[in-house]
Amino acid sequence: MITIDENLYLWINGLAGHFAPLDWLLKGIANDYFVIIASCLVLLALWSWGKDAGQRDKNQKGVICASISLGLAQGFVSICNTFCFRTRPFEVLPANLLFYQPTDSSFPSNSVAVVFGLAFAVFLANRKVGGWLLALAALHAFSRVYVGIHYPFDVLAGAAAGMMIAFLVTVAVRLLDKPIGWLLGIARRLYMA
Amino acid sequence: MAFEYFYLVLIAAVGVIQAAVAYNGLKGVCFFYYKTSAYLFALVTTVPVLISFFYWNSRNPTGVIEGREQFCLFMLAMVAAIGFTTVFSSVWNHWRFRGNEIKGEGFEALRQATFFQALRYGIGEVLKKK
Repeated sequence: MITIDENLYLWINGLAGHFAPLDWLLKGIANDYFVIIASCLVLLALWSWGKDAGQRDKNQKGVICASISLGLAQGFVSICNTFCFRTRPFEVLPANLLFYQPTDSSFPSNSVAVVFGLAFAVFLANRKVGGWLLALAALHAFSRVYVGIHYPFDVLAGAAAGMMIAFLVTVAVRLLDKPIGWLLGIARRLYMA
Repeated sequence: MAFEYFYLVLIAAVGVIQAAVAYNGLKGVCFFYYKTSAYLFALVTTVPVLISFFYWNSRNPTGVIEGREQFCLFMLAMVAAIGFTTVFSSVWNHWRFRGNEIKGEGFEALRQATFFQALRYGIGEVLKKK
């Protein structure tokens, strides 16, 4: 399993350094800020999005799920990192490193878990917007391997964890429809929703 | 670095809010009379900020803002952006929507009234019931 992971890493990371525009693009997408901030700005827009109150209500519940998933995914990865530490691939394998050298655990990928958690929660509420966010999250995951800072299994585990958390949060929010509706009602009375 | 992160997110958030409220017809919160102006404003504010974040690691090669700090800064910037938008749009649009009848609940009321006008009406309704 580890050999497959390492071979996949060497193959994907081996693509780096051959085509400068692709390196430039994926280096920007791989960083810790661009995709996360762009996704969060989409959440902000989604809060007021909808031609009628019903559609807006659905979107707002999606935003609530996405925000909770984002926080839980971050917490989950922190807990994982206290129990298991995996060395970054560039420390043990010959790599084309296009990025600074992170020192924290490689497994699971924190930023990938966060963006997938957020994107999948939105997808469960709004397929169109969520689909775009998932595509962006997938590109972010690929770029983390391409620039040399994660093994493919790190990003796959991050994506799986994020999506699982988003699914569970969505189920929980649907079960807690009354209190969530009550909170949204208060926000509506304050003209904030 | 934290300040740079904060103000960049603040600028982008103000732009995104303007695009969203213009598209959804919440005129009371919009800074502009025409939708196109709001979209242009959103483009001018959001795109350079996203480009800045795209190049963040090139500008700050080892500059990392930790997850928790990033979350706090992001939330702070959101609150500031929402606060700025509600106050500025309420003052800016006050005369335009003065005397309008306030219909609907929540965001629906902001189609024909500013945030402060709607809030004043809402508080008045609550007091009337009591």
